[in-house]
Amino acid sequence: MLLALAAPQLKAQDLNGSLTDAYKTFTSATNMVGLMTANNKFNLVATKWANQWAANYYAAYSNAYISTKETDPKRKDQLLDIAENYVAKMNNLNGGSDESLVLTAYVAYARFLVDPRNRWQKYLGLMNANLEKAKKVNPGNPRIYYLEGVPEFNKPKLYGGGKDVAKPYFEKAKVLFATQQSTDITKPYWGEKENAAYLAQCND
Amino acid sequence: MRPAIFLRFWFVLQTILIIGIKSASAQGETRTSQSPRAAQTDTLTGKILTDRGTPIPYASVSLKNSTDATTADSSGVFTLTTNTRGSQTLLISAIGFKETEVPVTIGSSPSLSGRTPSLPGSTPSAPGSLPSAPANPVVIKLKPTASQLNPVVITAGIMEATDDRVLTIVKPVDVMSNASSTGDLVGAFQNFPGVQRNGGDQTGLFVRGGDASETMMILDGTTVQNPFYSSVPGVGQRSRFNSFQIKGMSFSTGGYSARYGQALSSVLDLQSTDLPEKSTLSIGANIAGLMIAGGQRIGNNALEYSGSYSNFGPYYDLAKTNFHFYEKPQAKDLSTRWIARTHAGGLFKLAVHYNHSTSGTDVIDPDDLDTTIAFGVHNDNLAVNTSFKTPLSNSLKLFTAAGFSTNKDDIGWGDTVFNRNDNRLQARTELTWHPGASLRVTAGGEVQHYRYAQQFDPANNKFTETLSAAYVEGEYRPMPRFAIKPGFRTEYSAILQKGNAVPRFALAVKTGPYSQIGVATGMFYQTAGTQYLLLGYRPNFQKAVHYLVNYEWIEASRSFRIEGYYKSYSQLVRENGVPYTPNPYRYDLGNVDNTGSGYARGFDIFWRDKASIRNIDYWVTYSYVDTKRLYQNYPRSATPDFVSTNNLNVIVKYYSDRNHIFASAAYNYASGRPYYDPNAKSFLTQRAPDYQNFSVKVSYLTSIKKMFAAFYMNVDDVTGRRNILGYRYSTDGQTRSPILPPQYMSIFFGVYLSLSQFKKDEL
Repeated sequence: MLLALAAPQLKAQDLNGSLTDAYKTFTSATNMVGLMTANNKFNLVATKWANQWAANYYAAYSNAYISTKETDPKRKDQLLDIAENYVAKMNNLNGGSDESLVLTAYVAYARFLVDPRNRWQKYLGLMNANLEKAKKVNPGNPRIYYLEGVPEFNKPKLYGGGKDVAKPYFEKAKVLFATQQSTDITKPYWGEKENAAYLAQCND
Repeated sequence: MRPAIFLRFWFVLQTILIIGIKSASAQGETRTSQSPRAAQTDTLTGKILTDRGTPIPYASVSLKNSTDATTADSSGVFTLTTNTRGSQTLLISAIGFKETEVPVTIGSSPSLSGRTPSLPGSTPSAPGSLPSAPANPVVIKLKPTASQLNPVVITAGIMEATDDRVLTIVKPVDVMSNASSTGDLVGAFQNFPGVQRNGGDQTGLFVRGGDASETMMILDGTTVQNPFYSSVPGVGQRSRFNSFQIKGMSFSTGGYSARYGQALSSVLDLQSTDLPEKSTLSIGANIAGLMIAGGQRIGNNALEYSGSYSNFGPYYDLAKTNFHFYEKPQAKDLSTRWIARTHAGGLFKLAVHYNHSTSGTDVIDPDDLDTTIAFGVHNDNLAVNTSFKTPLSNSLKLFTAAGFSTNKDDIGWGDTVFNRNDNRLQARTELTWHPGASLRVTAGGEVQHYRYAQQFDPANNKFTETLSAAYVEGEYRPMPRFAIKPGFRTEYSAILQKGNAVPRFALAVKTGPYSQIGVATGMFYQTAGTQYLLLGYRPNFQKAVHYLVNYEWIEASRSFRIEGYYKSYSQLVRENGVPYTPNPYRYDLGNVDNTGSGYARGFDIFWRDKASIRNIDYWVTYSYVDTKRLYQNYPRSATPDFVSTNNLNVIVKYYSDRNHIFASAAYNYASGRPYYDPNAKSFLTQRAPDYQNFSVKVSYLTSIKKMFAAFYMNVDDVTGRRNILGYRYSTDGQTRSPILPPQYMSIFFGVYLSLSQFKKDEL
């Protein structure tokens, strides 16, 4: 039986409209089918607007995000192969921006998550280096502190991590998230919901 | 099927607007953008499969140059609705597969729809049938792509343990964390395929039929003159490397790079850690000593330091030894490193390591097995090495390295005192041209100046050698699945006043996303052992030719590797006109020449699985070697006494995050080694009993206040098996004594504390 997916078509829109549409699909997805539908949209947008920073940014973000939800390590890395390609294109277009650096860090963190015991040295180092650079460019970017908090939250207490250590990062991110606008899709605003969820766990 | 039913069916098909797909030969049809049906929508259905027929989930299916797109479901089934008409290109992409384009014609007439599609990359519907989307979707097959993390890499003869590449068979942490490594970096390599299991009576790495002198060790591009602590007869020594300062290891069991020479069998190439992320301080204590290590990060510089004192008295007291140590082994180590990163992205390293060690044991008198002779050694070793690598341009990199080491042994042999001294000064410079991802060419040169002296009153022997070498090596990947690595090396020996020139070659072909085959060959030269050069002999270079072929399959959680090899030896040094004696300290070497020869052939298998059993990571290696050689004072060709034909290692690791426990168990098997029986009619054909060892290591990780702490315990020879490694005969051949490991069951335990408190980031 054909299980046709009623995926909304990408209409002839401008970049912002297409990204907004894809992002809406992405944020409303409740399962892998929904996420992949959004991901395919982001990929198509990045193909159509290949020289636009935001198009590559969201395609990289989407692939990396889904890799963290995927359970098969092989597919995780395959998604991250794609994400890294978009990161490379994004950095060619505007590599020095804080958002580019943050996303580069995020993709590195996703690589680390595939095989933490064997990848921490390379990818956590890469992540931290990019977050440090991002902090110098724009210390007001909330995603920097959110991403700094996540590994600390997940790090065992005996290694110097845990809720107490991570909480100040999420709190700082929360303050900064409150000041950001979420009206322009080309100015990323993801992470607030996730940050709040982590903070809630820290407060448990 | 009756006509009426057929017509009704046809009508239904029309109403749901199933599109027709025609062959590539029909692509010339013009796009029917002015079709009277333009206002209608067409529906294209299909299924995306792998080339083996497995559904590919969540593929993206779109029309090229259009935003009409859809996503396949978890079964690979898709439905694409579009109002675009005519000849179009369907673009299919899926995670892990090559993007594929399929020409289609949308909105074709019923007769056209009924034609049998024949598309590149697709499998058509059944001939003569209508491509009814719901009942008989078009099948499109995709080919897998190679993972970016697993590009084709030259691996024949090489086992890499590195964090720089994501998919490798082993990682640096794997080397040290197995139970049978006993904390020694080089000792851990005995669990690798192709390496001889050492029962504890020998020092060094014995690789694929080669003796210990045939393995060279490199640290940051410089030759390590004295990689092991000075040896006491019958007691294998640990290496001097600090495993915490090693970030990568490339272990070549044959066919190694043209960057190196002077090793007939193998090269262990180690890279030290780069700039540390942050300042650290740690201390450790174990049954055999104390250590402190730290590092201070200052901007782009770091200063690391470590010191340790070890006294194996308590350890040997706890585990009864098979030797009597009249002076228990003690050692003092001091080391420091300076690491700096330049603004241009260069990296400078300077390391200084000093060690003083003493040991004394009673060894069996080879002339009278009922008596012992005191053998004591006091050793001082200083090693300095530095390296600098920097980009000169986007495509050109410079690497330079230099080293100096000096080593002094004061040895007491009964009432006789003698000393040995050696030092080495060396430098290497190379340029690497890397114009793109597909080409890398390295050219360089090195000079090794070393001196050995031995005073054994009244004899005073010494020699000085200056060895110069130049090399060039390229790595070319003309296509993603194929790589070749040709190389050329030439050397000149001042002491021999002779040179050599050798080719090296390797290639690799990707056979699948995670598999490849590799081939390597090369010629290798090595000067005669120091025992010959010290006594004034100047035989020519010894020579080996390697041929290797391997197959490798590496995924993130499982890997398999098999490698076959043939190694021919020629021009080996022989001592003619003297009877055989197993005494390594013999002085009468007879008429020395290069008439020796030999071979080694066999295969190695490696299997690792990190996924099948939860929290368990295990690997199995098996090595088979068939080797014979006529060299040194051998009267005829024979399998040397350091060779076990069969070697099996099983390593199992368990990690429990919840309980903070890391455990490792190792089983090692080696078939009996040959031993010399002067009463036997044949030479070196008797075999010692098989060697077996089972060891366990358990670590408990916890925190004490804000300090990270690791408690560990290593039990070797858990079953207390009485291994016999061979036999030693008296000079008259009337009595024999077994060659035993230094001890049977032994227990080693300690604690490691990281004093670096967690520091919150500047928020």
